[in-house]
Amino acid sequence: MSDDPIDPAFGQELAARLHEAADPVDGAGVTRAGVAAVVERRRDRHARTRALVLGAAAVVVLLAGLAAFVRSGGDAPEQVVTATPSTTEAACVPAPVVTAPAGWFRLSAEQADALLAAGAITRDQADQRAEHAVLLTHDGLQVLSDPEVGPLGDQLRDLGYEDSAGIELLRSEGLLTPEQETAVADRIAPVLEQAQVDRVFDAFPDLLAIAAGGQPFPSAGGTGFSPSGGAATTTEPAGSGGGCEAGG
Amino acid sequence: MTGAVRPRPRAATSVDAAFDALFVRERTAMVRVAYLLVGSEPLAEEIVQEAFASVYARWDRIDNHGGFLRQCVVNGARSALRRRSLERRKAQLLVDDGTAPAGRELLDALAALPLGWRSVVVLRFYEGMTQEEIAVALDMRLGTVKSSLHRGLAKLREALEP
Repeated sequence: MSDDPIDPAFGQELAARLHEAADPVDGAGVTRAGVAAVVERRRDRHARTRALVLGAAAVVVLLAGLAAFVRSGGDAPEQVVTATPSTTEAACVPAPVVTAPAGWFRLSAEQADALLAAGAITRDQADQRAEHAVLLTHDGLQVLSDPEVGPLGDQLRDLGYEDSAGIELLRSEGLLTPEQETAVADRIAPVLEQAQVDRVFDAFPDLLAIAAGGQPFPSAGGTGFSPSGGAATTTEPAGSGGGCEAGG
Repeated sequence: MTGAVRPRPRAATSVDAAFDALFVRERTAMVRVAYLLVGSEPLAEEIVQEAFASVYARWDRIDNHGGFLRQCVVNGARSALRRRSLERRKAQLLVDDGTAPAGRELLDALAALPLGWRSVVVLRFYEGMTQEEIAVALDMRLGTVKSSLHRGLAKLREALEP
């Protein structure tokens, strides 16, 4: 404790008061059976999400094939089955919400590896994951929600920083450096100076999303970014959320 | 753990034994840490239960199970507080009615800190972890831990000392 920036007496008093407040809590409500139930519930949820995504992909392929069939004049049913969807033939695209930014996320090495393998982030973003948060799309989050990867998608969602207000404030006041603007444009969170963090805290004292103190401040500043609200509802609607039109 | 959770019985046996040991060793301490972070015992229990489930699901891929567990607890607290902040524009801790006045004062003071500072303070002074251990457990830079501790303690001192 010698390098703690506080005098020992206050530290000891604080420790005693923390124990006084928390030690009566026995945690009896947390049980192994309860943990097992949570694990099971998550597995079910992942399975459902996976089924929804696969189902949505099937809808896209089906509609693309239908579009090809319509353009062919309807005289070759086999083409419906074998038609390969392409961006030019299929006017049906995944709902924009899926590819929209979900927020800035600080990644572990394992998460970065999974995202890199899936093409959801770039090598530069993966290499800089220790210093910079990365702007992920809802598609990217879906990669990490795969049962093979585990509940990291949920965890990331919890870790997400959905508030762009801080970056927007700094930008509006001319406090972002060109390097920071470049980082934002590259979809990685800029490293902020302590003074910038302090400015944001002053402006938004109850902004939980930037509660990391002097930590590099992940926020959103890219154009078209919706600051909040989208992340909780956006991983499922790949084909069901609209944006589909029969081509022709 | 039920067989339904782990489809491979042989692997499950060793995992479950190790997980059981972690569960027994850390359960109460983690609930207390979560309680200090969110100020509600039922919510703390829910957070810890979810955290243990995350550890279990990723057991084979985690090197530092205790550290990952603490990270999950802090993240769970952040998530819970964020959900609460949507319900209440200004996020405040909801202190249980049965909390003693002295405890309430402390929890209120903790609640006034950003969660990042609060987590560092609790792990340092309740759990007795070193700054280096906290940095590893929470995947934070050591400098961030130090600045969070410094600022959090200064705020707490203002609030708690007459």
